[in-house]
This record gives sequence, C-alpha cells and structure tokens, in this order.
Amino acid sequence: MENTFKPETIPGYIPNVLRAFPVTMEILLISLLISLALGALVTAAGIGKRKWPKAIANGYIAFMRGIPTLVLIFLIYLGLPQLAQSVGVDLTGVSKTVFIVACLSLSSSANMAEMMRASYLAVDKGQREAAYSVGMKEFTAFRRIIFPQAFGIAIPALGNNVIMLFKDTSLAFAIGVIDLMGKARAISSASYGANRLEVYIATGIIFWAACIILEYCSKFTEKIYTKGRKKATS
Amino acid sequence: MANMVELNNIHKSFGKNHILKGVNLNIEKGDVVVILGPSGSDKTTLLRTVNFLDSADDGSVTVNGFSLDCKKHSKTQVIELRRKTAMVFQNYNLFQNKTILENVMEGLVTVKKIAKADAEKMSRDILAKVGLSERCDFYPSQLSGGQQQRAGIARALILDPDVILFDEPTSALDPELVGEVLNTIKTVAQTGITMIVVTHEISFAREVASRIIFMEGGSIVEEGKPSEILVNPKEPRTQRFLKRITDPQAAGEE
Repeated sequence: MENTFKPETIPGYIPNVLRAFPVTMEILLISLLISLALGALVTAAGIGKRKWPKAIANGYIAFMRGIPTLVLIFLIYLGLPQLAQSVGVDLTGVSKTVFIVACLSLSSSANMAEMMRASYLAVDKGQREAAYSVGMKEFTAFRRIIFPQAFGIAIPALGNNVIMLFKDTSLAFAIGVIDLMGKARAISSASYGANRLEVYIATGIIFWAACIILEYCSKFTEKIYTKGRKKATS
Repeated sequence: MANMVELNNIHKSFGKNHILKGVNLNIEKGDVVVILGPSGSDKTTLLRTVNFLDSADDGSVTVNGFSLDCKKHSKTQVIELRRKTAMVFQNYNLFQNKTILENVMEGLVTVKKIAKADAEKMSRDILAKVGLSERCDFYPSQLSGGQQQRAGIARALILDPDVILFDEPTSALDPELVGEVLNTIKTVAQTGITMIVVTHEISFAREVASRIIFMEGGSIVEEGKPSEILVNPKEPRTQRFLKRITDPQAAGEE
C-alpha cells in the first residue's frame, strides 16, 4: 500500500475540528455540574449513619465504577427508550446530547463521590470537635470549617476527574453526536478515510492542549486556594 | 455558693469497656480544678463528657444551672450546653483554613452573632493579652506549638464561657514551649473564671489549682486541696502515682 500520510496537512484540520468545540464544552460543563451534585448526594448518603441510604450509595459507586462508560452509553441509549416505551413514555424525541450528558454524569458521579468521601474523611476530626466546642451547629461547622478544608484537599483529584470527564466526552461520537471526535469522524468519512490519520492526530492535539490547560487551571486554583495554609518551611 | 458544674453519676462505655464508673463531681464558681491520674485513667473522657464531645451513657451534666440528662437530650440542648463551655485541646485544633484572628473571631461571629468589626476589635484585644498581636494574620501551620496553643486559649476565652475545659494543654508541646502556655493559663486562672484542667504538670497543679482530683480506672480516688493531695495523699494509689511522677527513676527501680 502506498504511503499517503501527509503530516504537513495536520494543522489545517485543527480549525475545522475545533468547530465542534462548543458541543464538547457544553457536554463537559453540564455533565460536570450534574456529576458534582449527584456525587455530593451519594457522598452524603455514604457517610451518613442511616443504613439503607449507605447501602444504596455503596452499591451505586461499585456499579458505576465497574462499568465501562461506553457500555453504559449503549445500555442507556439503546435500552432506556425501550424500557420507557413499555411503560408508555416516548423518548424518541430526546436529543442524543441529553443521553450523553446523562451517561457521563452517571459514570463521573461515582468518581466524584469517591473523591468527596476521601477528602471529607481527610479533614482531622479535631477540626469538627473544635467547631462544636465553640458552640457551632453541625451545619455551620460543615460550611465554615469542614467543607473549605475538604475542598482544598479535593482540588488535585477534582482536576483529575474533570480531565477524565473531558476525555470521556469523546465517546459521544459512538451514538452520532457531533462533538470533537464526531466532527473528526465526519471529516474523515467525507474523504472516504483518505486523510483520517491526519484528522485524528489533529483531534488528539486539541484534546492534549485542552488537558494541559485544565491541569494548569487545577494547579493554579490549588495554589491560590491553599495559599499561606501550608507550612512556611518544607 | 452555687455549683458551676455538676457531674452526676456519669457512666460511659466504649463497646464492652466500662470506663467511667459513676463519677460525681461538683465544681464551684471560680474553682480551678486539676484532674491528675495515670495514663488511661480516662481523665480526658470525663472532661469531654462535660461538653458532650463524648456523650456519657448515663447520668447528668449541669453547667450554670442548665441541666442535661445524658440518656435523653436533643441536639439543640447539647448546643446550648456547649455554648456555656469552651475547650482548649491537646493538639490545639485551630481551624486550619483560618488565620489566627479569624480563629478567635469565628465563635463570636457565627455563634454569638456579633458584628464583624466589633468581633475583630475584641479578638485583637484578646490576642494582645496572650502575646500574639504580631501573629494575627498568620495561619496556624505557620506558628509554633506554643503560639498555637495560646491562640487556642484566646479562642476559648473570648466566648466568655462559664467554664473552660483544658484537655492536656501542654502535652503536645516541646519542653521549652510548655512554660509560655502554662503562664498564659495561670493568668487566665487569676481572672476568676471556672476551669477544669487535665494535665500531668504537677508543679502547675500545685501553684494554680484550688482543688485537685486524682482519678484512676474511671473513678475518682481522692480529691482535696493541693496541699492535702500533693503533700499528704491518703490513698495508696495516689501515693504511688505521685512517687512515680516526682521521681521516675526510683519508681522504675522498685
């Protein structure tokens, strides 16, 4: 087979693929917000004292962490409309983006929950006792003392989760959403795959650059947020 | 004189371990009570039952006329009781996410609902008294243990509590920093505030305590004035403890 790889054409594909960037960002931001909310809910149930919510939360995390996101996407995209139909609800009008957002939110929420639980438990219990000793209510102690410290601890893991979620948005192409990856596939199909390697390299560069920026943001936030709180020495 | 703190028949178990076995204790207003005893005699647990950081299984706690049944109480009642007390911790437990000034202000602003400007002024005054004027804007992790503990004392004092609970306030400190903290506590004691202090500092107890309580195995063995307990203890267990602590080598050779 003749070698048709033309590296010099790669930069030219970047603006083209980038036209789908808003779609990817929309999926990322909405999924991020929902997964944080859902993760917080699961964490609250998981660290609470009540037995049933705790069992449900643990089961949920175990299930969501064990199932590959792509499998989840197919299960929900193909299975949910049928299930809904059997109880008389028509989901055929729901956009594919909604399905992707739902799947990514679910799968990411388990990671978010684990991150929140670990950060919450990492706050020294003496901090809560001190808050109680000055007469604070449970919620005040959480809001003023525990949460701000847990948040500082969570920033690196949160940054990591956002990057993972961002990369997972590329799975949206699997059900035909035109995100970055979907756009790349469309461009490649239009020329019957002749330029596909160049297009995918261009897409890879976009993801890579965006991840570098996200990582930098995470480090910067951590630095600003925990400024002065760490020991001056060491 | 009315009792400031009353502990009535306090029982506490952790699992199968019955550790506080019906402790009764009455503390008058202005008393400085020092609790001594060997490690594991659950002095700290007893102290923590006063503000319900450890909730006793049976008995009752009364602080300045506000009485709480250890078996049956609501969260709101526990908070009300805690607001009559303040605590100084072994590991300082300053709020790590707040500066020293914010640490002291926190209780005033969130619990006593005092306006921020006033709270800040009061906090700066009290931090000056414990010698930390220069450190107001530092975070706890930037201070020495002694400075942190003095800030902890300021945080407790500013709440104007009916009783301050000191849980081994110098045990986590480097030896050369113990003095500054004990001096601060002595100054506080002279203001006439009611204090309960769990400590191993015998000379401090002798100087500051109006009453000494000797605990062992979850009950009070002996109590009285420092001159009685430290000089002429009646109970053999108290005698053994004091001998061990004042002359560790001789005790080791026995």
